[in-house]
Amino acid sequence: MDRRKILRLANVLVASQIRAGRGTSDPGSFFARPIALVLADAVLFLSVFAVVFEGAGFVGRRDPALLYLLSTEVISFLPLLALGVVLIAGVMFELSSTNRFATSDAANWLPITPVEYVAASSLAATFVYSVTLALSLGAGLGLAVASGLEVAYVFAAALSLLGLFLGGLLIEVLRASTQRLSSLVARRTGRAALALRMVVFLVVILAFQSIFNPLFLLRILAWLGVGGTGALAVPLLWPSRAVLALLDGQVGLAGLLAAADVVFVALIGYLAAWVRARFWAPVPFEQSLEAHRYATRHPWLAAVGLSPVEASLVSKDFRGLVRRRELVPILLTPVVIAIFSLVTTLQSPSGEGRGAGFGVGLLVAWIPGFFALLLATTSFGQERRAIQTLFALPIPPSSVFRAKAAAAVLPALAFGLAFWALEAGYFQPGAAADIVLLAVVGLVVALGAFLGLAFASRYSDFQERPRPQFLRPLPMVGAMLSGVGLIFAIALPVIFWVIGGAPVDAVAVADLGVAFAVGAVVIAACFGAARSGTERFLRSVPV
Amino acid sequence: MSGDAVPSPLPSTAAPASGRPILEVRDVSKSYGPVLALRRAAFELRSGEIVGLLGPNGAGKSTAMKVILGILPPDEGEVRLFGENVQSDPVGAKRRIGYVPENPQLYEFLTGAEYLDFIADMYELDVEHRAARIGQFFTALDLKGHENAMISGYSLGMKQKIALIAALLHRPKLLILDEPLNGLDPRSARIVKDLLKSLATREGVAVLFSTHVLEIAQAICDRVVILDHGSVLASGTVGSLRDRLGRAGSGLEELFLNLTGTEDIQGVVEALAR
Repeated sequence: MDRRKILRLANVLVASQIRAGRGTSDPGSFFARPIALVLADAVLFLSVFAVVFEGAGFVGRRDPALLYLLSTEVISFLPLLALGVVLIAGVMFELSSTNRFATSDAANWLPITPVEYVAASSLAATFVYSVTLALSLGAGLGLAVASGLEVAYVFAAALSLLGLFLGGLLIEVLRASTQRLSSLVARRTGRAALALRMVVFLVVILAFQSIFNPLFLLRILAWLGVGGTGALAVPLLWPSRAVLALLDGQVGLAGLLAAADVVFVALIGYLAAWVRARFWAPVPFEQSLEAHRYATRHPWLAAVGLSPVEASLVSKDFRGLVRRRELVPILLTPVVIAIFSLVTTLQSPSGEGRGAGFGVGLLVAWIPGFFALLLATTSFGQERRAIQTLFALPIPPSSVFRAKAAAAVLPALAFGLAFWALEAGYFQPGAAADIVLLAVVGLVVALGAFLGLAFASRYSDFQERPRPQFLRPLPMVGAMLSGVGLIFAIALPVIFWVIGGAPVDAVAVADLGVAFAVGAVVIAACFGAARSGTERFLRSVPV
Repeated sequence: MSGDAVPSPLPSTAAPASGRPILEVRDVSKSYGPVLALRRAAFELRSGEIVGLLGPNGAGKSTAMKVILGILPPDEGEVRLFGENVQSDPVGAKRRIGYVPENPQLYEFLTGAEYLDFIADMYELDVEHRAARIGQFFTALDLKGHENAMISGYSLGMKQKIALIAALLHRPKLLILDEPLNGLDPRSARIVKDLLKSLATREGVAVLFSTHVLEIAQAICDRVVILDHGSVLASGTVGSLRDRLGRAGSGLEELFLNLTGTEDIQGVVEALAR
């Protein structure tokens, strides 16, 4: 194992990720170099620390016991948060390399061993996602200093860094596994093979999140009624238990659990290298389908008002969504979130109470809106270099806009209506709530789609690189934060109204009316930004 | 040309290279940041002409083609297609142009048949007749049997053939082909060359194509336009360039190297071999 080679390769992989864009940015500029991330980390860390420290001081002066409780909970949770965030983001954004690029990546033919590749790639992931760690560690330090828990904080910070690296290793396991899954159906005929691949992907991602993501694992353990000592049997929870042990003065147990965690990370590293060596299958995805019928005119897409050209564009995007390995995680995102949300919701007996109400809100409002946002933000970038085709063909910009919007709205709306039917049939919140929730589905889907397109038409990334992204990293963060914020701004008043028993009175009508009016204004603004962005984008080919 | 039935893009009407220019590139300049890709480039194409756009790597050939297609706006100058400024009606211009990009960038998750059906949809071609026409191309270019395989599994040459079919499907009046013979096997390359000649002489289609294989340019082009550092160094028939440079009996390669200043090749080879 050559450490210099690992660091060099990790540096290239990080650069590949942060130089996303139209390929015209200056690679020599400070912000195109990995060191820029360190600066971003430092700025975020110090800013969050300053804010939280001030807030913690205020809480501490009023209620020291509350501050101590809050601090211990947060500090012990830091290692789990680091791993959980890498796994959630990794599943969505780290598997976006096309099969073609993955098979022709220089790493396949350069003299790099699987161990070196896995180490470098995991280091790169650690570095890229260090931004999230900087945020949580900054907050943690603010609380730790305010409550005198500096030693436990340093211990938790070290374990968090290890957790981040563990996340990178687990993403490598998933990367090699999904590549292997693609090659499983290669050379097989028919759409059934594609459907099979998608089902297998869903099972693998669900199993992966259930087993390795502590944020989901904690829910499942709670659901199964496993806690306390039982949780000690789960290696992923050892770092948090170690921090808690240190806070309780059990230094020996803390040291033992930390050492066990290091051994566990090493074992996962070994597994990742083994999977890479064993299952990395650099073969082009080759598959035949049933004979194509030229008569197809997409009647159901025409039925929603799309022209034949627009319907054909949408149909092309739908095919990509179910056939492309790098897009399947996006398609599966609402399914995965829905399953885990249902686990929480169904914990509440008969689906009653606040937990159930919030779960209903998540299903009906959050998931369709977020799905539309994901589809729309990736809508231009997923075209990759074939985006040239859209420019070279005689398609009016208005048709491209309508097609891209429809390709985001229709699947999200389908999910939304399915969840709405589930909500209406199972939880039965009442006719008034059903109608209002149906309106919310339409609003959040439109909001997610237009906001996503507004970002996608301005900041998409079309490059084929070792770690490609569909949208440049910073705009992706901006799109997600603003999207989540706006979706909740529309949905929360409704969710609270449903939790409160969905009363039909003047106050409720006024509250919901204001929420919907604000939502309509925001959607209109996003629509305008998306349409003008698309028209401007289509004036000059980006690659 | 082989005996394969290559589909005819237009009903047969003889149209010699004459009359008003189909394409006029007028003093076009285009920069990418500080890099000047085209510098007051000017040339034209008439009906039935095959013009080779030649130049070293980075000369501005692909940029010129994208500006002509209307997918890159020029910083200065204008491109006129059938007398109309391309930028004033880019969608209308694209309907009359067939374009093959430098590297075929196709939707690889579609099968060959699905991709061409999609292209036919974009040109709003008649659904009834497209299957027969696409089938003819598949047969002529030895793609028969691969039409229902995903493009991701195609070789470079097969992808290039699909890109060529996509450019010809709607019977364009102007073909803009950026290295169209890349990756093609000798038989397919011959079919494409003969098809281009046939389209030009029999149907009056104007063809602008770039290539680094100067023998091909010399064999099939009526004229060549030589670009270097974004400027048009010379244009005309090989014979007229020979006369201008005073190099009687020279081939296009010698003329090209003479014009682009790369005659020091021997010195470069010796330095590299050391």
